Amino acid sequence: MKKAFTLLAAFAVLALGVPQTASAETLRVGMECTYAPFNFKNANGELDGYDVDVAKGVAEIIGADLEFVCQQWDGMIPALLANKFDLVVASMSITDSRLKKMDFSQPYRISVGRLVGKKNAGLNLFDDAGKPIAANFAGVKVGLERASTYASWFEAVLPDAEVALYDDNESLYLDLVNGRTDIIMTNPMKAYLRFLSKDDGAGFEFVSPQVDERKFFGIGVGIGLRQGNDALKGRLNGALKTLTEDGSLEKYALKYFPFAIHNEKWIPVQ
Amino acid sequence: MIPKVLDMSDSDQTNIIQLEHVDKFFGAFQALKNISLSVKKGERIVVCGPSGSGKSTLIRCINRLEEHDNGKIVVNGHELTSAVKDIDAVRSEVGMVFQSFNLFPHLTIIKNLMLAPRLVRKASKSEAYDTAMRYLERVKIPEQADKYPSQLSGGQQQRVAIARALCMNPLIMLFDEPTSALDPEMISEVLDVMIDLAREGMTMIVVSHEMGFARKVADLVVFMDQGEIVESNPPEEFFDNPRNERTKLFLSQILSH
Amino acid sequence: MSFDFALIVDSIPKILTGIGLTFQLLFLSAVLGLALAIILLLMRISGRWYLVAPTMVYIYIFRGTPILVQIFIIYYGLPQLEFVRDSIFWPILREAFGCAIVALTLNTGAYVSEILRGGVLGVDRGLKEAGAALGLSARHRFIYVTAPIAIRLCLPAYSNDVISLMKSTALASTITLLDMMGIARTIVAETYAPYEIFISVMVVYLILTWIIQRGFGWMEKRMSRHVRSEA
Ligand SMILES: Nc1ncnc2c1ncn2[C@@H]1O[C@H](COP(=O)(O)OP(=O)(O)OP(=O)(O)O)[C@@H](O)[C@H]1O
Ligand SMILES: [Mg+2]
Repeated sequence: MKKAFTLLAAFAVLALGVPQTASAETLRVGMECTYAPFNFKNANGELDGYDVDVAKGVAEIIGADLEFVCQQWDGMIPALLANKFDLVVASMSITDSRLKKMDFSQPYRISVGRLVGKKNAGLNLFDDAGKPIAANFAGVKVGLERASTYASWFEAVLPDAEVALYDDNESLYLDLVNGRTDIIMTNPMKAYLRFLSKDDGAGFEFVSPQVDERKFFGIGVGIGLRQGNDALKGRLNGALKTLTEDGSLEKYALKYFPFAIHNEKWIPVQ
Repeated sequence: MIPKVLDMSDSDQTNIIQLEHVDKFFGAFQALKNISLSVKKGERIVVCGPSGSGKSTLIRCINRLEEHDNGKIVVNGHELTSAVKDIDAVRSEVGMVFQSFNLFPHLTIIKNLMLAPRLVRKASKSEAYDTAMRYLERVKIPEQADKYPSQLSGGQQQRVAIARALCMNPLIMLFDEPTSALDPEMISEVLDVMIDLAREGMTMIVVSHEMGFARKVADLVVFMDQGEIVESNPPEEFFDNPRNERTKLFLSQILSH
Repeated sequence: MSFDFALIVDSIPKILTGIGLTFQLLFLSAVLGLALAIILLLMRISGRWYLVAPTMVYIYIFRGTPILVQIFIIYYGLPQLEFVRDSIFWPILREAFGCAIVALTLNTGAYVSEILRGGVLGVDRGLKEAGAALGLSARHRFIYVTAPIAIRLCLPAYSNDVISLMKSTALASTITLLDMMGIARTIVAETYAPYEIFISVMVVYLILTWIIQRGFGWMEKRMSRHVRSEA
């Protein structure tokens, strides 16, 4: 393990080019290292993924060295608070309960829902402004996970829609393929990885824009840090703004998905 | 005394029941061995013999509740074979009374009597009702018409069973030990009905050990043992002058109590 | 553990909004299942091997496997087959409700046909012979003698099967249906209060069981009013 870390550190140094300041600060970054495609060890045993790319991008901009620490999910926040590392870049969603214990940067990935349906079905469910057209949902059977944020969204926004509730994500795809439902709403990344990129999903596509309603889906995923570190937080946000605007975040996402997974306009939310 | 049918041997007198060399097997066990028996219209036959001798099997073959394996059985002109198209039609001409009454427990007495005439004879409801009441009166229990079988005594139930069979207007009546499940005080009420029936000229085959009854009504008493007819004679002859040793032994046993 | 009685009071009316669906599932599959059971019974007692053998296999399979597996096979498995999706049955199998009815019917049909067979075999042979001796045809014997007596004999076992069918309807919630159980599970997923909600739903099912038992008890009494000492 130690050796791997040393290697990684070396790799990080290489990737970042010649360090500008010889005695640069070193930021220790906690992540699971098992959560593909966001943070995981690739075939060469190197850490890879969207989170890893973001961490590296940020580090380069703020001029820090990185040291990655692999940490199991349930101990992630305690480890941050116990100073085992300085940042959490682990696809951690920004929530109110977490904000009581820790701080977050602006989101570098957003939580959205997106509809999947048959290719070329011509459903025309959303207008050009990205708002659902309730009338066009009439007679359309919708599959959703029971008690999911997507189910809450439908109940609030499209209460008349004909909804079937499933106990797990896989059943959603199964019944979509079987033709029992016409569309499903789920996390677009999940939908892509588990369904659209597979043979089963060949005849299907996204049939809506990303639905981004914070009230239902949350703010998104940010870089976690200990409270009272506003200077560091400011630098992280600055770096994320740059990565958003210079297209780096999009580039990172396109390595794994055929679409971007961040807020394409930099609009601070907190 | 009831006038007995004379044993007329003129060949044009047709037999209403005719058994020729009948064998019946249950698996490897032979219950009937080479049985031959003719019954003319109006004749009364009493069959007796020790338990397991094949008496029930014999009369059950006559309405094909059992199928015989060899030989020939002709009932009212129909030979009973597996090819016989309408065994139900033959059965409807042959009434049967069982040792255990076998009344339909879910139907009232009157409905027990009306069921077969309605379904088989296609009688109208009122016709079937009238017939049923007439026979209930004959067996002297019209007042029980609306009760269920379980509410009647054994003797009453057996009389209902006889009336039920008579409602079909049968040519032949078969009785399989009709009184042996009854308490002694009820036996005579059933036998009286049967004696009445004999007096009216009904063709009857009765499996019974009621020797008084046999003496009174039988034209012929048939003694069976181990699946064979051992001896058959008119009652006087049969009781007073039995020839076979097995008959003698049997008679000594049943007359001793 | 703190127990939230207010939540129970709150959730029971919500759960009861699913009772209509529970009743529909119970009633339809009980009626169709009984019809199926009668057909299976007639095949089973026909004495013809080509009718008896498939019936026995069918009954063995449906009594020998969990009903949840049967529901999943019908709901998730069958639509994988192209010809099923093209068949005239697809409009039924497309709907979760249709699948639940089909699964419950096929399952209860297998059990009930065995119960009926027990009843038919329990009818005294002498009564069937008495019918035969009167000249009743086999069909008439069955309809007027064997069946009515067999029904009385079966009723207690049948009422148990209806209760088990009622409980099985809860499994329909696993294939998206919002019967009482489906609603209860959704409330649990929203409130994270499994004890309160599932206890509420338990109470409702217990009341239904009680009603069914009483109903059949009443029927048994009525049917055997005059049959006191049936041997
Ligand atoms: N269905 C059957 N299967 C096998 N064996 C049978 C069957 N019915 C009768 N038997 C046998 O055939 C023999 C004759 O039986 P049957 O009932 O005709 O005797 P029975 O003379 O009427 O006797 P009982 O006076 O006891 O009524 C008996 O040994 C009996 O065990
Ligand atoms: Mg006998």
